[in-house]
Amino acid sequence: MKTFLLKISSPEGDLFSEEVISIRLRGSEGELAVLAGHIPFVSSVKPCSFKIELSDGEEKEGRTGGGMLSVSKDKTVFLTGNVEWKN
Amino acid sequence: MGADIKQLRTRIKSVNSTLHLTKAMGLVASSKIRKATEAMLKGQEYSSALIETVDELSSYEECRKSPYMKEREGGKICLVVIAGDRGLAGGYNANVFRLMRNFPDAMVIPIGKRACERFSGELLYAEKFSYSLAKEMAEDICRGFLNGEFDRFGIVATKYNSLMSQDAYVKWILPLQKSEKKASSSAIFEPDEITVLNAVIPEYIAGIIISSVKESFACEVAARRVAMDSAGKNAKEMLDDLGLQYNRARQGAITQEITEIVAGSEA
Repeated sequence: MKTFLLKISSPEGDLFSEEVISIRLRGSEGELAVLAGHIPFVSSVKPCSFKIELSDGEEKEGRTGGGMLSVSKDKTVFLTGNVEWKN
Repeated sequence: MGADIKQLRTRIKSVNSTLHLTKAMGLVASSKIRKATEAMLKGQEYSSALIETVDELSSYEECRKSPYMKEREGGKICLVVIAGDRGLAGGYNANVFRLMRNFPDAMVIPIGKRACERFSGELLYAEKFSYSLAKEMAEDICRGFLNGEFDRFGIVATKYNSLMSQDAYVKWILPLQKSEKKASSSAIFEPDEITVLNAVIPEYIAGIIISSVKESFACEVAARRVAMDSAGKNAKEMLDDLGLQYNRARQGAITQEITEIVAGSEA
């Protein structure tokens, strides 16, 4: 599977920065998933639980209080104030 | 003569304890500087990404319709004022409060113990300020702005130039200024620019508040260290002077005593 760099950034610094296969979360218009090679786009993120598929196929789950997702060619940045990891 | 010596001795003692105090406070401040500047840089990284996005959004024609961008006639001002938790930090708190004299009628949301005492707000420590507090505050501010409780919103904080120099400033945030930058339109906004803009604004304000608090705290610590350094230096100078005076007085008393004894034996 192709991977892309996902950064989860908070005011306390980067909470996560790794090559991943996908991230699924709730945008302003409903559920969305980002895979490698997604066109650049920006969306706000609603408070939701999100799932990240790591490069080794493992799944990481967390909850966020909302934020902003910005996808650019070289990386995807998820700006959020607080994240609670489930595992 | 005897009373003079005693007075000098008590003064030397009190200046000595001042020196100890400034040294201790300076040490505490320097141990906090590194952590505070690191936190400041992380906060800036976070908020700069938000600022960039909002900047780009504000340059779109259709975003001008957003209620956050509408210039309003009324002159009611709301300010978040960020000052320190403690005094003895040189001009740090005074500079912020001096700037506030330009806005005597503003609605004030204070952060930092000193600011809370001065503007009688709910006690919020700048050092322990968290993102969730900033978010709550930002949501209240957005609600207040949209309901017309105030027409302009800004932040009064301190900018960190270097360890030696910090400046108090006021930064206006709402209504949003349209950016001069041309929309680069490299990215798609989903569902559209104005919806994203309106949804991101509370996040944007919270980001700016928290990064300003972190920057101001770094300024407070740096200002305190510099102030304590120079206070310590002054105390040392004073001690030298007092020591000289004390020794001179002591010498004088001894000389006088000898003269008296000699005069007595001669008589």
